[in-house]
Amino acid sequence: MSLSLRKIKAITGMKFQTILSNTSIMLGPILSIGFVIAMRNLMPEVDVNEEGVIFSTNAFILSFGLVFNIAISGISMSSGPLAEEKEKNTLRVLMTSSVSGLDYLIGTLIPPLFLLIPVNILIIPISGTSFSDVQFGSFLIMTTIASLISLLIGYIIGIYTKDQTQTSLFTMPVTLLLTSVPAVKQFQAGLARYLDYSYTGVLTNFTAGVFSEGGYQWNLIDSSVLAAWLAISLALFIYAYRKNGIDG
Amino acid sequence: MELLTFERIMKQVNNRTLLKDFQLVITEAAQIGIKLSKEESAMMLDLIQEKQLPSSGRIIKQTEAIFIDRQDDGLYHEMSVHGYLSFFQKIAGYREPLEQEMAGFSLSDVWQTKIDQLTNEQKKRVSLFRMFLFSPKLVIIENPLSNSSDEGIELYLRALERYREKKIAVVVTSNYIEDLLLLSDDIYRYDSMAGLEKTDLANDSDQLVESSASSKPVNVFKVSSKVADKTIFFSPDEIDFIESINSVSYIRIGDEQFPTDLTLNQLEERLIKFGFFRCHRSYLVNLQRVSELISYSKNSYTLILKGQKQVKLPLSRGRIEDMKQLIEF
Repeated sequence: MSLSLRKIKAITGMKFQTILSNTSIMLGPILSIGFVIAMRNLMPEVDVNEEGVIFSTNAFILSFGLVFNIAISGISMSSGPLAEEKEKNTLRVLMTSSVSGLDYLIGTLIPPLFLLIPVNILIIPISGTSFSDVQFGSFLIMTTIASLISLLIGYIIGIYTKDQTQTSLFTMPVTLLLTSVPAVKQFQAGLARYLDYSYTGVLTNFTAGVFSEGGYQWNLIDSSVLAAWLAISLALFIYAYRKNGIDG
Repeated sequence: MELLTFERIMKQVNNRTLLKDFQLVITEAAQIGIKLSKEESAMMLDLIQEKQLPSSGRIIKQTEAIFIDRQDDGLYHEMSVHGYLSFFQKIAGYREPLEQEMAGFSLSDVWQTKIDQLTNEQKKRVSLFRMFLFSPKLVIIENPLSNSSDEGIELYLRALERYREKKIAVVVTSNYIEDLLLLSDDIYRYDSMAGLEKTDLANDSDQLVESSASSKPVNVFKVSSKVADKTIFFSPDEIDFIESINSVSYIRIGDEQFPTDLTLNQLEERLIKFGFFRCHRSYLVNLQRVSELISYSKNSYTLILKGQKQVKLPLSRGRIEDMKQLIEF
């Protein structure tokens, strides 16, 4: 399948415009910033590291904000518009206007990714963390890969569902599971080790590591989990796309 | 130059034949109207777009520049007309300024308006403009004049003129032959039994030319019906029956009816040799289309037509013997 840069550029421009003017899509990043501000003001500042109990308010708020933005906003930013386009038959028009499925996917992937990344960065100062405390290079790599995974999961859901209602129905349990990771990891020690195998679990480990004494150290498990999630979601996405096409 | 060819297409869905003997060649600059039901039209478009495969026959596309405008196609409602068309201009790689064409599609006054605020008629012209940007060789439009006002129809026809000027072939499907008469030069009717048949048409101007011709063919008779500014000619074998209502004779073909200037007596006189039979003082039936004779009581007879169980034509008691003699039953 041939790619057309001209068409990808046109779709990217159009999607930026439509996403920015779509309140329901923009609500995700706005809410994640809002929640971080609210938690910052409501939660007492605690930094405990004794008798096996490790808790830092800053780490918790940062991980919550990141996971909220990446999982909820990321998945809904790709699944929602795809479902809307299918429901309103605008995708069909595009597909019959010499736009290939791959042109469409790449063109629609770029705008949400470029919206998620600045919000992820913005959450650092809002959560009360200074940029110097966060290992910025690692932060950027990790959050960008996680955002990409969320967008791919959203596309998989969008490909299999027929309309926006069905999409919301499938998106809700997935996002609920993914966003509950920071809290569950904190309060359910038994489940914590299993949650390390989720990409939001890796994000939580990263934020906890950043606030530990030695800082975050890349390790084999976190890198493998992140790489595996990216590879599996990409493979599932390719399978769904090949089997159903972009417009089902 | 041929653009799209349907070669004896047949399509069955759930043991039901939706399209049969569908045969058509669409050439460059053709302006064709096809009378199809919504379901038949959707199937034809699905077959062209390869969303469905024909049960038999094949579709040959001699060009890739075929664009389809379905009735329920969506537009980006949050965008302005200008924004929407600029987006598709980039997709199409259309180099000319859009403003040059906006008057041709009667969109100047809504150029900066959000698509959400447009009427359906305006949206249809936006879609027409969108396809135009791709310099198509053939466009296929589904039911473009449905629910349109007189002014809306006029503006749509003007917009279609741009296609004619560029020699772009246009195929329109509709359930109403009146719409097709306005939009096309050649009209085809799909009949579930006979397949796709061309309907004879003549413009008023054509009639003048024909009447001045000195040579007249013999043994040719067609029943004419005047609709809008065109006269449609029907071959006797196309007609199911003719009905007289308030002294006006209506030609009935499938679910459609067309008025004719001739009286039922005049029609009977001319059509009797083509197998028509006056079954009732208000009905003249094509005997080739009769499939059943039902006697509900000793003095009450009803004729049922092929493939039209719902149509029940009365057969006068006094005519039953004549009919028996005619078809020897």
